[in-house]
Amino acid sequence: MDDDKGESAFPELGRRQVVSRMHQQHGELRAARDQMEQLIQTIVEIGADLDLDVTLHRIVDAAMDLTDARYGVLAIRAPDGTPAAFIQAGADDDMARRLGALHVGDGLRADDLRTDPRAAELAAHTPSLRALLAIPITGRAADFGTLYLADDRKDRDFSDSEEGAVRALASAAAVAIDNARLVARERETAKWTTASREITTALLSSDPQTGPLQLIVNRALELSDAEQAILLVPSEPDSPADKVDTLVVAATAGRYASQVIGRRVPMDGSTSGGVARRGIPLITDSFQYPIEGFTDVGERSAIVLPLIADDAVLGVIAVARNPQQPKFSDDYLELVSDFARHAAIALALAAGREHALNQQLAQADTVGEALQNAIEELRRLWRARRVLAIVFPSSSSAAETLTRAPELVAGGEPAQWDDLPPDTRQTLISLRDGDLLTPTVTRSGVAGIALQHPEGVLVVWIDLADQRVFTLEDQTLLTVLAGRLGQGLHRVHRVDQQRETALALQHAILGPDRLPSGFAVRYQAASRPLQVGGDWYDVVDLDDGRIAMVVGDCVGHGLAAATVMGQLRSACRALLLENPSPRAALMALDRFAARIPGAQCTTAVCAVLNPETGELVYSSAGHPPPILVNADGTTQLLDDGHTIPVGLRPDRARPDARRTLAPRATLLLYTDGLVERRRRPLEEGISRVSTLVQGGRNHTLDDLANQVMGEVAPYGGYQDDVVLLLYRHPAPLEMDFPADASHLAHTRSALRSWLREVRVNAEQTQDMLIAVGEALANAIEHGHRHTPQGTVRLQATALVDRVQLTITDTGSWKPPQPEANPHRGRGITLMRALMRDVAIHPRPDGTTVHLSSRIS
Amino acid sequence: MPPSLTFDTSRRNDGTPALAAAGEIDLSNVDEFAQALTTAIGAAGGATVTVDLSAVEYLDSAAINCLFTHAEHIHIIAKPLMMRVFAVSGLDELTTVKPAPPTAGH
Repeated sequence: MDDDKGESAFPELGRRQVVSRMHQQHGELRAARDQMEQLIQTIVEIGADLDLDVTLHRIVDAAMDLTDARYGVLAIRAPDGTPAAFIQAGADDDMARRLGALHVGDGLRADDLRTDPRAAELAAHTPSLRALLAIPITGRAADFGTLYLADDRKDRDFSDSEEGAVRALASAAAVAIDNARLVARERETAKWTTASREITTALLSSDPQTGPLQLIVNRALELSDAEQAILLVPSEPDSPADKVDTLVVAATAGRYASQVIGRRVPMDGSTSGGVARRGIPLITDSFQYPIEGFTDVGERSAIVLPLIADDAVLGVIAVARNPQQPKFSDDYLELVSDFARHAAIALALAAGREHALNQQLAQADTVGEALQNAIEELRRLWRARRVLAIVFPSSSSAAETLTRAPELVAGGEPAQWDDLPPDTRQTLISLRDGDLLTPTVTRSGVAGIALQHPEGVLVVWIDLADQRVFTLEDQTLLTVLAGRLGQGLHRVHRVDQQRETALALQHAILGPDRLPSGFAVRYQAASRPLQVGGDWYDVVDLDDGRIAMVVGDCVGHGLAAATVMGQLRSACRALLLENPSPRAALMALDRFAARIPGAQCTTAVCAVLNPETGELVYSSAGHPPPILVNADGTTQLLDDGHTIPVGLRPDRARPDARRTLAPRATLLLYTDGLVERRRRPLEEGISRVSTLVQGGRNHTLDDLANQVMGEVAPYGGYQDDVVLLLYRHPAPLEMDFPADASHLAHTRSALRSWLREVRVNAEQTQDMLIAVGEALANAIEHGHRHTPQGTVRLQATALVDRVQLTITDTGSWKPPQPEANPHRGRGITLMRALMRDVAIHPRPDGTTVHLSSRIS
Repeated sequence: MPPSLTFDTSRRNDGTPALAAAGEIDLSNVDEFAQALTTAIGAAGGATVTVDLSAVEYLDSAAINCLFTHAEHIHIIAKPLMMRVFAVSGLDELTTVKPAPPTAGH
């Protein structure tokens, strides 16, 4: 301030007066200057510190310093106008509350309260107070509160300049409070956002320490600085939203927790029910329906929020502050709603729909299947238009990716890598090359993330429908889920590999999975998930053209029995190749088994068959007798050549027995698991199986095998390992040869010999030879006119009462019409006349002719 | 392995022209059979040729087609087993087909 200019302000005053006033004014002006400096200093300090509480204390202190007042009170008002808090200096709580109750309008200045009607009530309760200066703190059309300065000293009053300074301070304070509140809100938002993420992460972790509902109420209580938090869920969780009629308190935190847990609230007529129905949060201090331990503890500010995920209300959270705490403000709703939304999504993922993603991953047997399931789950979760998963093999470079399309899995709208827009492909490739588990939002509603895949890098690409925004929270969730997906895929991959290895080893132990024609086998291990047990079978092509069959049974089942079994099977196979005699092989096996712990008492039957003559030599080591069913239905048990199990008397001689299999006879070798039933004599089981084979002797071997396994299976499945090995004599004829007429004679000769083994009479043999000859000629002449490299296949199978002949070629021809082509038509006519059934099936990749005839 | 097929054109005991075949006739050698048949008929100068198939173990529709072509110039003798084929094809309606005596085969 400029002192000189002050003189001209008072021209009419007398000199003395002027001097006296000048002194006075000088003092005031100086004080004013100091005040201004102090004010500026204060405002700068206010601006420099962002903690609301510190700021408010500074404002009170500064105001008291500026005015030299004895009492200072700053009453903060909540957005709804009610006093929310007091900052005071010199004044006690009672004075602060009474000052806060005073309506000051645009400002109130009184030299003596006792004479001012506006302060009559205040003066009555605080008779010592004299001077009062009360200035509202307003800004941006909001009433933040009032700054009160009061004094009880005589002749103490507040000057205009002091009022002006306090007003300046009040408006600066308003800005400061506003800023501080904004910052506080920002911090609060950040706190809630962090909490949302923590909840998401915690709920999705494989082993949450706390139940998901408890976790949510704990965090809600803590973050809202409340006294009590409760979470209500539908009393019947699986009923549809509109059928829920009662909510139940499922989790509580804070005071009265033990009283309120388990309380029930009707959907209709309760505040919580209304929030659940409408899905809209609200702030209230009066609940419509009493909840014992919650609403009966006094009126207090509470916030009630729905937990919504996938358009379904999973529950309601109610959080209450104690009556002394500030009430919840409306802008708080938004903050907490966001938290509730994420809690709900996490809840839906974690508890509701039972960890859908994990489940999808757990149910999958292969990585591909797991990925497909996970993509569908992500799509469902975000209700996305499309989710893509692209697997980039670890070795592929950008250039390779351009030449060879990476594997792409699409959820929602189908897609091919090559059909994607070039910029999308480029974005996907840059995602692959960027940081893992870092979501990237390229444009509105589209997000991508890269993660580990057992074969390289997987990029997941989510395309939301309807221009929805992919929020920060969505990104958090995506990160968490992508992490879990990566782990899940890795786990599936490992398990998949282990299982493949285990299965390969088991099958190697078990024996041949492809048998010579004429055989059918069924194997069932008792101990799941093992696919092998103590039982075994083997079919070995011997050097002399004969075929050896073995069925054995080591003691016990499970892995221990399987390892013994594997050794015995291999040994027996080697012994048979060395000396193709069943009794010699079993005697050598005796010596071998005596040296292997757990191999003694193994039972086995070993047989060597001449496939042309049907001659069978066999020997049994304590094994149930093979069953032989002839074409005429007579049934025999092959119970000769039988003695003790393997490995007990290594030097004892073993017998063998001989039998000739009649044409079209069916032989069954098996283990006791097929015939043995608790509390039933073994003979009963054997007789039952014999009857089944007898009844099914005119079925194909495969059908017969299925029939027997199905019919004799005990209720609840086989409890013991089971082997069933079927052979029908003679084995079907199977010939493949080039589509050329020069091969006809040889084929005819082979078929003639086979028909002799089946015992088809001369006349029927002639008919079949001619019919087959016509079919073969058609295949050669017409089927392969344009494909001279083609092959023709002839299969002949003998059933009890008929022979089935199948001629397959790789060309295409249609059955000619006899009128149009008398030459070929004659062939077809012959086939139809000579065979009982003729069926011709032309297909684009070849033609099949089925011929069949009864044999007498 | 081509099927064996041999021919004998000796006249019969009664002096009539004849063609005797032995072996199997199929797509791979039907042309030889057709050739032999044409030659024998040409040499017979209008007389009916007796086609003796009693030593033929197998013949297919291609062979039957040849026989159809020359049906009015031939008589056929074949194994009793083959009678069915001639009946089915209708050849026995255009010419005489007689079964060979059982000893005629082998």
